[in-house]
Amino acid sequence: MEVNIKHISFKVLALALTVSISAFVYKKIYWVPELKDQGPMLFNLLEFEWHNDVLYLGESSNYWIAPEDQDKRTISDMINDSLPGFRLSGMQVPAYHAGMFLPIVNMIDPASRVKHLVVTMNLRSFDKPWILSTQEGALMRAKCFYYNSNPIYNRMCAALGYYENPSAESQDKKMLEAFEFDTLKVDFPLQFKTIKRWCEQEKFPLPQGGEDFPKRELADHYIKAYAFQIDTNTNPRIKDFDAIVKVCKQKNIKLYFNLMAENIEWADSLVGKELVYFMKANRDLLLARYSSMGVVMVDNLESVPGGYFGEKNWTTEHYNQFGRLIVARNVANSLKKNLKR
Amino acid sequence: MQDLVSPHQTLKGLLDFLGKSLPVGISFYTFQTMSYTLDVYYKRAKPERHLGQFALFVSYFPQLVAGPIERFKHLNEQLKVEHKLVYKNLQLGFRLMLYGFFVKMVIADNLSYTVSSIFNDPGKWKYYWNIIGVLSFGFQIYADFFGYSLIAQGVAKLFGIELMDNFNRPYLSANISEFWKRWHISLSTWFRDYVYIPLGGNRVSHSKWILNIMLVFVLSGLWHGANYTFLIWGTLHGVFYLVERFFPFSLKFKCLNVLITFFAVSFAWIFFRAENLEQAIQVINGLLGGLDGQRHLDTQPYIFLLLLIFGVLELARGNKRFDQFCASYSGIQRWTLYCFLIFCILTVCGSEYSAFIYFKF
Repeated sequence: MEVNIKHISFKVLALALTVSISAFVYKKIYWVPELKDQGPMLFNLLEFEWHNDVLYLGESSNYWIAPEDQDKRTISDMINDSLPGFRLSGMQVPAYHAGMFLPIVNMIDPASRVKHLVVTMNLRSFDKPWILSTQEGALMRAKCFYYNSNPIYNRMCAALGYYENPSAESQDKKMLEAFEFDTLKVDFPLQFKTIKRWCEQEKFPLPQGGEDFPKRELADHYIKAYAFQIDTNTNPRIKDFDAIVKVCKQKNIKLYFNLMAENIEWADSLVGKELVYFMKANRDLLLARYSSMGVVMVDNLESVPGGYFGEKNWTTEHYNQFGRLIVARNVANSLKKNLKR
Repeated sequence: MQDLVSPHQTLKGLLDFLGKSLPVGISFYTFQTMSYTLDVYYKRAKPERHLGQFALFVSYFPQLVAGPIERFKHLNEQLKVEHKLVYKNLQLGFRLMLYGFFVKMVIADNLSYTVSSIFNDPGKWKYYWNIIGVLSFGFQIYADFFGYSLIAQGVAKLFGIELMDNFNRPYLSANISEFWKRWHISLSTWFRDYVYIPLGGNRVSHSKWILNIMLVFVLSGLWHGANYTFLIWGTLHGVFYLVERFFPFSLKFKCLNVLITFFAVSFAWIFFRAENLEQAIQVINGLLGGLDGQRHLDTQPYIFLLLLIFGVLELARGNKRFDQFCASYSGIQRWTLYCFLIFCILTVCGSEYSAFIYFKF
């Protein structure tokens, strides 16, 4: 094959120039508007005021406000108000978890003033329904926009599907298999060894006969959300939180994990003590693991009374103004011990 | 009696089973293998004795999952010849691939947001958004499949293999029969050669001919998948074709005929795109303003500019394939066009990944 080097050089140069101009034009014109939709946390990071002392990374629990709330402040705003002399700012995107926070933590400039980082730790983000959620593909796609510092490369990764995008069918199949076959191992007699069996045995008879199906559905949901045991070797969320710890150590950032409150009262009355056992056991595991790594653990698991939860018919970490205030105070108290002028 | 199921349920169950259990691209390589078997049976081709050679014909990777459905003689003869890396082939192949990527990633993928928003919830939008959504799907599916075919042709060309053209600017057709000579040519000629002509073609009685035509169109609908919507899509095309034959009409200006054909094809696309019959009926209802939707779609206006650019390019290339069209311009002109296409792919391609539509057939 005869090749004219002069022609080839011209073509390579033209290509390189086109790619460079495209990258420049994309970054200047399209990138930021696109981030608002596609990579909202990075968009927030671009807008972030780097003279803050503390960064708070959260999800919907941070900004959810009950319709009857007088105090409309977010959890991060409440923490900020409890820290006179210091500035804290929050960033949140619904359904985000540690895997999504990690690239943002990677982007924190070690030379910036931010030396304290609070990361929301949602107990349910360790469970199978969340890990195998059909939303995971969309989250992984959003993560493309956080890959590296070249926006056009990130965009092409998203456009060409260069990310993990499991199908809804395969996710559902894995989840059902986990419910059916993953056994719960405890050192006390537990009648039901799998989630499927446990859900099948739950009964809510009505006095007039028949069954209270809405209650049963909710109980099933509680069991699926909380009856699990974190395997530190395989749980992807553990890997994400571990990585966050590592990055913060490298950047010399003081790290706080804010373990969010769950509706323990409802779990107890709806399903029973066995379910609460799993919630507490997982909490204890997380506290022990990350405290030993030097992370300040803010344990809010049992801190919010059932009446302060905003949504009674589902498992969420959405609290009314009183619930948010409790969580905020606990985080603020932990921060106060470490923040210094 | 309660244990008995109705024929409707049986058919639905069968269609569901087939829809869930079929592997990717099966309709393409099945038809390619069938064409070989029939050609050998009718002594139009000699049987291939070399298993590896036959396997290469069936599984030739550029066109394995979505065509073009190649004829045995055309592809196998080329595969038997030794091919060397030739600069000219690389040049032509990359040209086709570049245009294919532009058409797929810039045109089809950008339209996909508009189309899926409308089809997923037709009742939400003002009626004219439903019209835009339906017309957009016509362009999306063309750009998606045409783009794939170009990429397949381009990749094959790199190795010196010439794949057949699958499209010839179908939306410029002035009637349905012309449309089928320009759309998915490898499939329509397959049905012509292996179904329509063996059934007697047009050398049969009037009533049998009508039956043959309907059978071919219904089968071409079912080829796309085991769903009622594809059945209706194929039937509609059959009916359009027959209506055109029995009540021939031609308006003074060709562009009006082209428009009418385009609207008829676009209407049929509703059934092709809809996930089920209910959704198709909803979309049609929405087109007619029967759903009281009030919202506007926040689609990017530059998409329509890109569509215009695509239209201009398609008109400009005439009947020439894109690689040949480029060859008629100087190096500077060609490279200006290449750089523009690359620029569009990198900056304004659809940011949402969407697999090729025809991969599921």
